[in-house]
Amino acid sequence: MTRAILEFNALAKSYGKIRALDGLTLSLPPGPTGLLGPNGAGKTTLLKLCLGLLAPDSGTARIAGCDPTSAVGRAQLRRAVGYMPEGDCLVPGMSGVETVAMLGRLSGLSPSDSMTRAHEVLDYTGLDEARYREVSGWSTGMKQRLKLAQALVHDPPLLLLDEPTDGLDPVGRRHMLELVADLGHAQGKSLLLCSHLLPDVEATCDSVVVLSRGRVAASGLITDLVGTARARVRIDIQGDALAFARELTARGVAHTQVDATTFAVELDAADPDADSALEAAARADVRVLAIVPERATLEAAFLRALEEQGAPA
Amino acid sequence: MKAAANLEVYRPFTGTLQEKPRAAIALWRAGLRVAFRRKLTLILLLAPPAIATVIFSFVVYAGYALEQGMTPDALGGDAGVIGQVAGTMMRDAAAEALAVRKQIVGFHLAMSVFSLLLVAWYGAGLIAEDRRSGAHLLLFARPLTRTSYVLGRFLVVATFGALGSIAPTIVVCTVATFASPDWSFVRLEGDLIWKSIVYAAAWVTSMSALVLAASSLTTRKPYALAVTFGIALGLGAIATLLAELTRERAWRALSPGMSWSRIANDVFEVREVRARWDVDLAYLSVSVLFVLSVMIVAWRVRRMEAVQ
Repeated sequence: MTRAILEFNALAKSYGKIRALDGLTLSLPPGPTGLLGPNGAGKTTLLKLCLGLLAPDSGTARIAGCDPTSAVGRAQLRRAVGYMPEGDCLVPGMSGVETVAMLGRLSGLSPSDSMTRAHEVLDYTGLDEARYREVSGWSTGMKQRLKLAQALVHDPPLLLLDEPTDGLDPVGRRHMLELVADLGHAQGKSLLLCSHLLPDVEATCDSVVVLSRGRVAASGLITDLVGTARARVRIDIQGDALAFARELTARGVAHTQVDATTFAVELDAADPDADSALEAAARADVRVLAIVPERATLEAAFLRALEEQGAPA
Repeated sequence: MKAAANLEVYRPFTGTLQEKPRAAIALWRAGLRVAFRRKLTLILLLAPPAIATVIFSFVVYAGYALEQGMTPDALGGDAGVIGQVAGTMMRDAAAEALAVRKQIVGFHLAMSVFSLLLVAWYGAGLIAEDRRSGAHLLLFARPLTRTSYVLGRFLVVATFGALGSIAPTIVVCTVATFASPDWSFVRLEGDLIWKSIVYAAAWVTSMSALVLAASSLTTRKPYALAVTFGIALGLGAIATLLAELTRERAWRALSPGMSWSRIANDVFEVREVRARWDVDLAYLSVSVLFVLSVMIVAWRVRRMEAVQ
């Protein structure tokens, strides 16, 4: 059995009366994992705990085999973790290569190793001649890649990436996702990717954790989560929409009205062909113009997990 | 056209990470590299202490030259007895005015202004800019202790303080050593050398801590500069006002500048023209300011280590 890279057991953390983490228990295997959740779900608090920057009120955590609550464990885990924070977060006045080399030194690389590694990871992230310029004049995309480079400089087995595609244009976003996917799949790094962009998580991660109100709302392989999400179809009608909605409700068919003539209808396993919806249309005397199946997405699984927790999506 | 990104090959690190990296030294070197990038500012700030060092070195040299009786000859030593006496009197008066001990105390007081400018300029932004930019998130995500962080930042400030205070002191003492006849400066005034260096080091340490405290309380360099000079000049104004209103000179202990001046006179055993006030108050004043500064830095950096 593969040993978990991140383990949390009954972890709780409060800020005054607000419970950021409420008895969170979770075990993540090595590999790329997405961390999802609405604002205030406890994602940032979890990242702080992963870095040993916060002490939990109760419960235990092991990050890459290290205990973040002890001084020795914190030092060890910060060697084993590469952190890419949200926002600019760059040392003012320094060039790209100086920044990465200095942070490499702080991580424990020797002076010569830190400079060599700085150039290697800057090459990898595609920062060429710009590395010799002061970072204050860099574009957002270059700064994001620099932050990824500094997280990689000491070659940690675990990467904590907080919104890596934040503020990037489509080309920059694509490049960043390719890098993250390469690190997670080809280079064998374990990733915890915190993002609001579900397609990013879907494109780069194998598994996902959905947090809601400080608890795990859903976790597992993305393929499993998407697979369990109920199939949906979009039905376009012509006729009395109110009567159609009434008939759908009468038959217990879950649905939402998208616009005046369009309904999103969930299908259950016993009715994969939307027969109930067609019967409802016949009873309501409306004409069905189109039935378009909607692809099961991570977004659907995410929203469903939040709904089950009773949290606002 | 389809966008494409060419990924370089990722090269794993095959070496080993040091258990205890010299983080403070790495931060110090990085801080100096950033500071030395703005060369014009550096030249403008270092020029006054450099010029002052040259002038004071010349004055010290002149003082010893007078002691060796060069002036009577220059004033006409062959002009007979009256000329000899006049020359000797002028020489003694000039030698008194140029007494090396007195000059060195004056030198310290002058240098303290220049070094305060250097320390404030290069130290005010260190912690403040880290907080503003969020760089502390990157730093504290490493195996970096708070002590190493503060030490690294302190070394940057102290380096500039040393350039503005300790280095000139060493230059002037060196000039005095070689200009004095028969090494009399070392033999008779030898205590000046170590006292000068200790005094300058204490000044630099105290002011560096004050500037770092101001920096840790703000998120922008200009604010930190305002806080630093507000404390240095504001306390001076209040101290002077209270001393004048109450006719009690001990109020001057409130001012860091006046306290350091009083300490200098005490350390270098220079007779003060105006009435003295208790030197213990001066020591107490600078000690309290230093301890407060250290406590503020410790408190603020502790808060910085947590992700904001």
